[in-house]
Amino acid sequence: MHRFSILSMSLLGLFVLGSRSSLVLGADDQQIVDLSIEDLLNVKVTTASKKAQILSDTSAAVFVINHEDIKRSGATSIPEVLRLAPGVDVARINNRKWAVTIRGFNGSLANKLLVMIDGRSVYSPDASGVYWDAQDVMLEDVERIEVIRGPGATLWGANAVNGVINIITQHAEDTQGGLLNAGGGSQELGFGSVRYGAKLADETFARAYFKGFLRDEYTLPKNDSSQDNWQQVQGGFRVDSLISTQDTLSMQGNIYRGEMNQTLQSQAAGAPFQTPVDTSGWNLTSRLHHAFSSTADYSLQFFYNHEQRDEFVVNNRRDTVNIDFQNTFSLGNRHNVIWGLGYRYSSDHFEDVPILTIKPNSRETNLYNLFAQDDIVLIEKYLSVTLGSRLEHNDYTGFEVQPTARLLWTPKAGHKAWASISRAVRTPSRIEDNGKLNIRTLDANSTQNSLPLPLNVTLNGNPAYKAEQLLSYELGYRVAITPKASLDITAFYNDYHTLRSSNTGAPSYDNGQIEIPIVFNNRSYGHTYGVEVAQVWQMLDWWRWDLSYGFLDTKLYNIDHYQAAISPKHKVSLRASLTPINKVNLDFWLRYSDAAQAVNPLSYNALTSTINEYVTMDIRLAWQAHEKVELSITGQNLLESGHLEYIDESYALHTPIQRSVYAKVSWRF
Amino acid sequence: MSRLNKSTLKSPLRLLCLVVLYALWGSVHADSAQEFTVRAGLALNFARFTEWPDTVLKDIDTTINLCLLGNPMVEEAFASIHGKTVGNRTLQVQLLAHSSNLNDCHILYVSDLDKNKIAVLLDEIVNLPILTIGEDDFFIQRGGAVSLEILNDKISIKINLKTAKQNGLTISARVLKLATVIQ
Repeated sequence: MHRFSILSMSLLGLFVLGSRSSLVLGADDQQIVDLSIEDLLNVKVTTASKKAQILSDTSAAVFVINHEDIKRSGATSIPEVLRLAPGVDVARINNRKWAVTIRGFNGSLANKLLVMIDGRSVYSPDASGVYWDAQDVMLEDVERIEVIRGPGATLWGANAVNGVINIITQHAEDTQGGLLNAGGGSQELGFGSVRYGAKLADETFARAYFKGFLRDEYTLPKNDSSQDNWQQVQGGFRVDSLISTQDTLSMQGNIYRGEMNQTLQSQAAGAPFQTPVDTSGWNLTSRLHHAFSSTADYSLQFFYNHEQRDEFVVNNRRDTVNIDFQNTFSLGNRHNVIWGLGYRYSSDHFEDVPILTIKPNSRETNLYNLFAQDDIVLIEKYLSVTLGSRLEHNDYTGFEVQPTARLLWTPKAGHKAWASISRAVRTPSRIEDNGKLNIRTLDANSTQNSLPLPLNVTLNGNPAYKAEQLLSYELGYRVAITPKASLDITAFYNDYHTLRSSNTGAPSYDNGQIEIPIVFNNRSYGHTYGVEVAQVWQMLDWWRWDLSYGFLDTKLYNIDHYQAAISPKHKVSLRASLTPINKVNLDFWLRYSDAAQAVNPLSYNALTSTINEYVTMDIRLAWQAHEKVELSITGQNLLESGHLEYIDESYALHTPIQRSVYAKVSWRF
Repeated sequence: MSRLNKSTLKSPLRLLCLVVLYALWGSVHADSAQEFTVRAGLALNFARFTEWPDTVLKDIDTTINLCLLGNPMVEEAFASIHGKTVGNRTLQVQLLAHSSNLNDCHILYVSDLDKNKIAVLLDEIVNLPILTIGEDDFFIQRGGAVSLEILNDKISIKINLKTAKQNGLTISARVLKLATVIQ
């Protein structure tokens, strides 16, 4: 165990002790509620505190990142914001690429984490993963981000294996008026965004936004440029309307275009070289919500998503149409039922690129699903159980069943204990089914190849490839130690089967080369276990601490040919959020990550490389200069000139993540 | 840890230490409170300054029930008024998972519920002797009795007197004079 982890454990102990002593401090809540009504109306109110967020009524490991947290983090992209949540492993590879996962198996296309923006899945079936460089929102309009660790497949469907992230933007009524943000700095060369919200009619509200940024390339250790600069523009709208007493209708849309550069270092393509990346897309989502009564409702959601990507390693477009219906109702006093069904159609087209061919080039897939879940009160106020399952049919592996059973116990007010068993699957990607990837060419008569003919090593899709399966066991405990401090602990054991592996097929001769095909199979298996701790302590009215710690142990078997990444064993995040003087916010954010193993497509011997541990810190200072104007300055990764966080498994050059500073103005009008 | 250069840690940590010292030394006084603690305090006052029909709150009743609906996070703040005495009764706070059990509620505090759900809920309990408290104008317009809205960082009270009377509730003049009253 490393020294920093010991430090974090001691901090945790200190917090528990400290927050116990604030039992006395907690008395002021009592004093406030006893004030006279006249005095209460004169108290200045601060909006809901964070402590409540890890105390919810669910029998799952849920953490909520709220609007205020996002602002005070100083983060400028979705992956950077996700570092706020315990148990989320965020590692930046270079300017435009991140590896983001929960409970292990990280990579730039980590495949066991489902991500949704306002109910629209942004998990791509191309290679099973999220293209983070194409996912952006106006961060100032995000209401909250729900981070659910552990399987969520019963409610959210396949690929919600290790976790689910729901990014939820604000209702248009809550974003009325104008907001202008502008800023720039050393890495964030320049950024700007404008949003305007208006009331269109009685109970009909709308907003529109436009944003853009220009990010500087990172510098390599020898002062070379990594040539990974990035510019992007995005715009969108949202309309929310109460169309009748019983019905609300929401419609939203986004359109974006990104232009990036990257340096690739593929063995198949020769020496490192610079190549552009173009991304673009648009999407439309509409949602009708109907309340039959205060205990029964249904919602009907539709989305269309178009995305396009043109880069050296992949050149494709994809169109997805999705329809979901959900109904909730109560049965007597003890049952709360939710059920739903859905259909998804997806059509793609891949152009052949030197490194990847996909046959057939175009494919249409259909996904059908049906799910039901019942929350049953066993003993009023003390014990409830949740039982549910999802039946899904996909074109790759046919029917998949993903059930869950959860128990929630409230031993006394402020304490919640829960346990669960769930199954989830990760369905095959288009590449695992139909792809052919040129991994490397070994020249004739070279050190690696003594034959007189060149060897071409390829990685091949397998139509018999199965879904990866998880059986997960979780235990959790949440407690409000005092009104000002709370603690959330989760432990889990994940048992994986039919994980991705590969075997070498028979060599073949073609066109003056010998091809050695490596073929995907499902022979790997393994388990992970871990503990996640989140603690919030409002030490003083103007000083809050947020501590999170994650422990993860990964054991995988039968990975001779196909190595999987091993996530850091220990991860710590400690934030101090202060308001030392009126109208001034000061935030410190210290992060530690233990060493990790990343898949390195370039190494010959071991398939993975070690990423060293690192400690880094961000500081943000903000001043509410005027009722409508906030000025802020944010320093990121301040402790070192740069540190490496990850290596890309798909050939993009990794760079040290540099120290950087930016200033920002926010004006409401 | 050997990779980490100690001197690089110094300056930001030094800043943090300074702030810690400032916190220990200074006694920055806060005249503010958490929003939901204040809301809970006001709800307690409504329990004290409202009269229910004798048929609903009988002499032998020893509790006044305050039910919470909507955002489960509110429960924690309202825990501070659970068990408070109101005249010769005690206040019981309970979070409703769903609104199937409204009959036992004397006060219903609704937080963060979708508008169509609020509208449907208020239609369902119209004329029942429940003091409904919400958080915006919409709540009052659709037949809620009280709304606690934030105005210039303070909470202000709006009361729909017609609704309160229809539901058989009498709100004390002491509260009415501090509120915006809609007839």
